Amino acid sequence: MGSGTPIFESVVLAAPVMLLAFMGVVLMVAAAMWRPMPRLAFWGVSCASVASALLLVAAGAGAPATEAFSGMLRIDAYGNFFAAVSLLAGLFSLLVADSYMERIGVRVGEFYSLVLFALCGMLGMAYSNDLMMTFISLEVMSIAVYVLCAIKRADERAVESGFKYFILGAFSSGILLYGVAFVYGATGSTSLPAIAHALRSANGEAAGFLALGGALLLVGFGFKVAAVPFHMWVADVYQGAPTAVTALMASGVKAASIAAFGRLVIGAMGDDAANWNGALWWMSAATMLVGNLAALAQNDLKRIFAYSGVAHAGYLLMALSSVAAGGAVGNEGIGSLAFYMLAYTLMNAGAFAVLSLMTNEAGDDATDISRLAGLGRSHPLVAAGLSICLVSLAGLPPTMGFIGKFYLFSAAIGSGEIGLAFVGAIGAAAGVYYYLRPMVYMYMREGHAELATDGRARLALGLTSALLIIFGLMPTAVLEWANASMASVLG
Amino acid sequence: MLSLVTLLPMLLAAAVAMLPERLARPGALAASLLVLAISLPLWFGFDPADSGYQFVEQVPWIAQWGVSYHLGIDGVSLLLILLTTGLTPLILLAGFSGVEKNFRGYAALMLALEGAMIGTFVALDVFLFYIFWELVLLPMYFLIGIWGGERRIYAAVKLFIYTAGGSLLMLVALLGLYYTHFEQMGAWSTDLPDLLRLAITPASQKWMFACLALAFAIKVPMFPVHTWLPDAHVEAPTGGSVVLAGVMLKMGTYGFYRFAMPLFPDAVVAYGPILVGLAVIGIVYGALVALVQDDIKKLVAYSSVSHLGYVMLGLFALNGPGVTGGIFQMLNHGVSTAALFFLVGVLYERRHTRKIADYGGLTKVVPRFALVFMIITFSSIGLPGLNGFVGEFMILLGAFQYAPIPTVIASTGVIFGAAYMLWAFQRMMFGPLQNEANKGLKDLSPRELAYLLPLVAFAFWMGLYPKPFLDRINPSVDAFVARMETHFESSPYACGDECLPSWLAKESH
Repeated sequence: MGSGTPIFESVVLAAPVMLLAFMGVVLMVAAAMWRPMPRLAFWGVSCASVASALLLVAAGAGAPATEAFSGMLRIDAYGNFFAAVSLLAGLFSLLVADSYMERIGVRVGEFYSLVLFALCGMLGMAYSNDLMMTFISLEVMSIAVYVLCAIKRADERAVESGFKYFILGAFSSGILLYGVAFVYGATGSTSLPAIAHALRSANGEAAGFLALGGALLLVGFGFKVAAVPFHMWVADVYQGAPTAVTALMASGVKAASIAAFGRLVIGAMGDDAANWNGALWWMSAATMLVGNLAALAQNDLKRIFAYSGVAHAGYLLMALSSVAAGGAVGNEGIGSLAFYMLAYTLMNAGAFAVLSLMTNEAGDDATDISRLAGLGRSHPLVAAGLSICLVSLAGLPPTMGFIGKFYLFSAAIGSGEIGLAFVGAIGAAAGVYYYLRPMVYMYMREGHAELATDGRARLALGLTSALLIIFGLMPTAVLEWANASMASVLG
Repeated sequence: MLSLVTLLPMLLAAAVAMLPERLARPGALAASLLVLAISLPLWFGFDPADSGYQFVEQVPWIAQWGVSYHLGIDGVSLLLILLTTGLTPLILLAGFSGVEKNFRGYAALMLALEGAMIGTFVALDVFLFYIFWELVLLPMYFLIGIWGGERRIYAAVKLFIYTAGGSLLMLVALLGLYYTHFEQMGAWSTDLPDLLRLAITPASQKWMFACLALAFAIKVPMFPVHTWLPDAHVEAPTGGSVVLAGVMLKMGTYGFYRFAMPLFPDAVVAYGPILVGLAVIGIVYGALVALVQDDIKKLVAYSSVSHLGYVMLGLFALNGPGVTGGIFQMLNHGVSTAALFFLVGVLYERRHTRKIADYGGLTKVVPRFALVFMIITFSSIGLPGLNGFVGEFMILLGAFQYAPIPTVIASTGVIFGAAYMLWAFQRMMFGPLQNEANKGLKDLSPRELAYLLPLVAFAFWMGLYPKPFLDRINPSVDAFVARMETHFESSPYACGDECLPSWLAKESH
């Protein structure tokens, strides 16, 4: 339902998205004209763009929810939260990117332009209030990320990664679009509020089409957030892609996709969401178990984090399942979704900063776990930082990961999903094993771990691990923010 | 006051980690003695007549969730805190020779562990308790994994997975409780006194108690989830074994006493027989397995399984003598098993073997060692006049009133206990001195006496004049037993003596 906001006001409201798109174009043109590119200028401009976008999001934090571009976007606290999380993910992966890309010998300015486009797409998904908008933003993000995966053109694994991601991603985008079409057919609109309205007044005439559409949407989003059984691509793609890109995929892409998925469940399905809870429940349970169990058998850190990412997608789906199940406090699921996404982004960013450091000056980017042996002695601070991230990923106190798990599980139990909470607890117990393994190598095995001398990646690690502890001990402010985002989508 | 005792060790841990290596030994010892000195006023300031929580501190923490930083102690926590602060200096002193690499890191982790363990004993908010409970695991994991023996990584990971797995189930149960409070009271709270006021349906009590009991039973450890313990003990450095047996295992029994049992009395009625049965199996099984060990450290480890079985039997007797005995036995075990692990450590440092068969006739070369070993052996098997007797006697007395047959079976554990300890003592200390390598053994040094004699003194004190300890335990235990009893009588779900299982039904008044 277009509220008829004038175009200029819309542009102002969506300033972060606009800024990223504009700077992306600028960098794209600059990269074509300037060869070889001035590294620091490109890096600095892209970092400044993301940071400014983050500030713009923060500046609009207190404003009441408004629709922009005739109802295509909804600028509210929920969108702001996930936009900020995506931008943080972008900022942290940019922090490691410059030095890392130099080490692996990729010197193309288009890299920064593509990162900005990907972030622009992510923000679009976070704010999207219309399935068409969601689809377009998803494609803006995905196409940029396909290219980013394969940006090291001479590397077979990178090309395989990009190709695999592209083929499967394009396929799943098609499925998603097909789902949008069925939903449109059943409800007569692609706008989320209009769909919600149509569902409320529906008398079951197009139930079959709606169910089919919903199922297709579930598959499409399931692929993007790497939920079981649509997770097969994850390990190969994560492993082959450059670490700085993997970092962005693991948290940013996931945050944007789960944000859009969440809006669909909360905003469009409304009371109808309970019908979908069966599917969400099983998807969440299977994702938590398969992700955690598959990670046990991996020896490559990137693959471990790939499956750990699958497991965490399961936890995020648990939050959606709580929302769908309703109950007295089901809506807390939204708050826990937001909080956990931020926690996951921080701990993931820290872990990937260390992975990028493992790529030495010669560009050897093997991330086998045994290369961490002896790190506790040779690089005590990096080892301590990574340990904090791992403890947080395992969901143990006194870190933000624990607070996040507590919130997720309490929302699940509060909405009556005790069984799902149990599955989550069992999955997390298995997860403890593979999060401990890097610590075993770092502190308990002898070796000569070498790291690149990259101060910015160390800064990223230091910032994330400090924030994980601070928000683990004093989560009140972030909780308030997450609750505000919850309130904004319910209103 | 309590905050200081809890947080100071953690701060000192950070300070010790930054000391230069050559100052690490005196610095760490001084730090642990400082913590001990600060904890002693708790003993004097504690009012034994008051059965409520004392030294209470409460500050709101995560307001949205009703989580507060709530500390307070009763007599049981008081003694466990003092056990912790008392053992830590001894452990560090013992580590002067046993810890060869990076003493600084070892001492820092030990102090951090001390603070986390004290935290579990003072927390009166389940959220805070859970945080401390998990925090204990990390330093212990590194202590075993870095300073342990050959299979240290296996042992450390096994310990972590077992405990963390149980803890996650505990978290789910605590969240269930948290939500129940919201349902009944309309507000969120993780405060223990608030949660104790809830009326929880028996069905909910059962699953929540089962989760908590599993988490605590792993820590205790009860049969059949005890299998991490022998590995952890054998691989841990001496100090790690001492702190593990001396304090960490008590976190499990303390968890039953403070949380699982008072929160879910109906479930205690339902599952009590199972736990009593497992405790009795643990007592006899632990003793029998200890009997066949050829490794002295493993023998002591299995004796812990047996002794902690007594503690559980006492707690689930649900009457004054039983529970008091159980609590007292926790302290006894902390003293005598800590001393046993120290003694094993002394031998291991000299000979680098723990095989019983490698020793024999040691009384001739190390008479002082033999004397201390003998006293501690007697303390461990419960010889009258020493501490072990008081606890075991009270437990069996209490348990016999309610569950005569299991108690009779459990008391055979006393005989097996005497058998494995005395037999090991005989094989190691008496007989001909055949092994050439043992002929040059040095007797206990002054430093070694300095950390062993306090434990010997406590073994005598607690055995001959346990009154000061029992005075502090009794009011708390009375309150505990009263809560369990009034609950059985007033609970809407209980129907009086005729509904209780026979082992719980009181004799007619």
